Amino acid sequence: MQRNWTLALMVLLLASAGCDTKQPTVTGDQTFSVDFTTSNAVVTMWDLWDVFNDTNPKDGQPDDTDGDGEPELFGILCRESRDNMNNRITSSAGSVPWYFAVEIEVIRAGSTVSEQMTTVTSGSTPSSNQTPFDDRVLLGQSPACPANVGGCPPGADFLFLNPRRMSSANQFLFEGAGGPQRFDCPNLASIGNEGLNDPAGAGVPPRSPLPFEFTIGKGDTVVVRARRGGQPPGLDILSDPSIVSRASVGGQQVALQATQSTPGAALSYVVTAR
Amino acid sequence: MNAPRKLAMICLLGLLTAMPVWAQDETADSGETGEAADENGRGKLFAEFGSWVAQPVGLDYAPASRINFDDPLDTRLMQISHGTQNRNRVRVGYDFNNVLGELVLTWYSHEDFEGLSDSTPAVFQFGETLVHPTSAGFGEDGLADAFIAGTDTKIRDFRLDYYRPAFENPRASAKWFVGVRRFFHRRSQEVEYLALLPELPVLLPPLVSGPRPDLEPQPDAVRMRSDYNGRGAEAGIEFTVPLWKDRVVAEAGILLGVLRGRADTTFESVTYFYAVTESGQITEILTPPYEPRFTAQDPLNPNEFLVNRISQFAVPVGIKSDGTSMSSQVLETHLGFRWWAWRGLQVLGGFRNAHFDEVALDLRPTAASLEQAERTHRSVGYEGYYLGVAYTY
Repeated sequence: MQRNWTLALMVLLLASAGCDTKQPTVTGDQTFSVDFTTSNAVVTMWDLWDVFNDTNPKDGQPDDTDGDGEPELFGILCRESRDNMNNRITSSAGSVPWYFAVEIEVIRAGSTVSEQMTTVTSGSTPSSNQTPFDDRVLLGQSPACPANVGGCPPGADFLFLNPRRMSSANQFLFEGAGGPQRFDCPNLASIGNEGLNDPAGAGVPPRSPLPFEFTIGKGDTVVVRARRGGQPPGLDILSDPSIVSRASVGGQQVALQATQSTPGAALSYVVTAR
Repeated sequence: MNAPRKLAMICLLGLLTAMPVWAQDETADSGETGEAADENGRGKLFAEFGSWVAQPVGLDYAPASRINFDDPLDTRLMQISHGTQNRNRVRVGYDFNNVLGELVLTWYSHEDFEGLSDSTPAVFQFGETLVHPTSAGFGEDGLADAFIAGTDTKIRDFRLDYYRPAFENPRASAKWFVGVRRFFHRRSQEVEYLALLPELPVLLPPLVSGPRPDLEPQPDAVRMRSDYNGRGAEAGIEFTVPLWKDRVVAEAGILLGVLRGRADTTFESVTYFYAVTESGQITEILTPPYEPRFTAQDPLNPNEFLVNRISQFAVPVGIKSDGTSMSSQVLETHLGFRWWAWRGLQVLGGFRNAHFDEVALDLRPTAASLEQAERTHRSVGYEGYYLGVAYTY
């Protein structure tokens, strides 16, 4: 009995340790999404047609010369959209490609160190971040027969099918060389893809598509800063757009800011997850 | 030391030296209690090994304040709290015999690292209480939106005491002691005050040609350190009261000491400001708001922004004092039990409190003059439960 008490006390003594008076914390995760577009962008419109041969046989149907059941596309014809008074048709675009510089950082809850989510890039080079193209394709607005083509069926050697209208900020017009022949289309070199340029800084293209998303926890603070960069080469635009940034947390919009439409204009906002 | 305390110490020392020594009563056979004298009159060696789960108290580390903008009178100091640390306390002694007394050597050391940090990005509510006020705070207002503080508190305590029996009877016994003490105390704190989300213009192209990490606000920082070495005399008395068959006793003690020592003290502070330069020379010191000057056209080069000639500069302030003479006091008490478990083996436990008065010195330059310094004497205490074993050979 005496030895048991002694042993118990010795074990207690040897096993004694300092008390820890600190408590752990727990946070939950949500998706933070940030998007960049432009506003106040006025663009010109273009009508496009798919061009097929109709000579063998001349039957009002596009020729299938290789017999694979699919007619061969001869090319794509473009015409500037004009109204009845021969004025250029314009439109307000939801977004046009525009260069911008961006910096997104996260300060985790309880931390004093910021975590850089994007690399900082120049705002006016082909490697810069770029707002989305205007990828609208409008059907039923283009004339069935293009102007100045010597007439449409019956009797013509070419068929002009699939008439459609798109803006001067459509990515199709910036595809550069390659693909089917283009007739009278803007001969624009590729200006790259929309999105953020290599946000992880890995040095590997292409760009990360928009919206840019990452995970944040309760109490995390996200800082978004951006400056309006330059106009991509070849973009035909009739206004000076501003850069617009939208942020959402868990699918709910929490921030909306826009720059002015002046060169180098900036936007900046802070979002803290609750 | 104040006059009443001096008088109390003189009275206690006088009482101890005048107290009669009674011969020890006959006890049970040797081996049942450690107090029994050796039958041949030879001395006994004893060793005591204990763990003192002590908490430092009275340190008053306050690295920052929190401003309540809704009620300025509700501004609060943010103080670092200290938890307990389990440190060993070793005693080794030789009991010559009850006539000649005992010589006891005691060793204890304790080191405590604590930190405190907080952040409220973009909300500048933390007062930079410790840095020199020149250029303190991103907005030149002495406020930060985050801070990180770390402290290091250390003591090394060495005692050599001579014990003599004061009195002994079936109801109680006591020993008085005198001795020397050597004491070391380090008090060190380092704090960084940050501007996580400052009101700076967006430093992105085309305003700047590339990344400008040199314009990101550097944290204001301060480092304060005091190293005290002291030695002196002490005296005290320890009482024991038997609780059960001379095998379990309650024990209590009190100690008073006076130390004379020297403190080496350091204060280092660095804050920052923005300025426009020309050919490497500062031509304009900037004050908030910074946006108009950062985004202005450069008058020397209208095609560029003035931000290209803006840099961040440091304001270092420091003061040191080596060998500042200090007079310190020690007050130590304990209350516990001791159990003679088996032959010479004892188990002991209880609560101990030790207070070391004026054993550190905080030195800070005044806001008005870098040549003058404010001195603040600091104390430290340790309190907590202890548990240990002892063995008498």
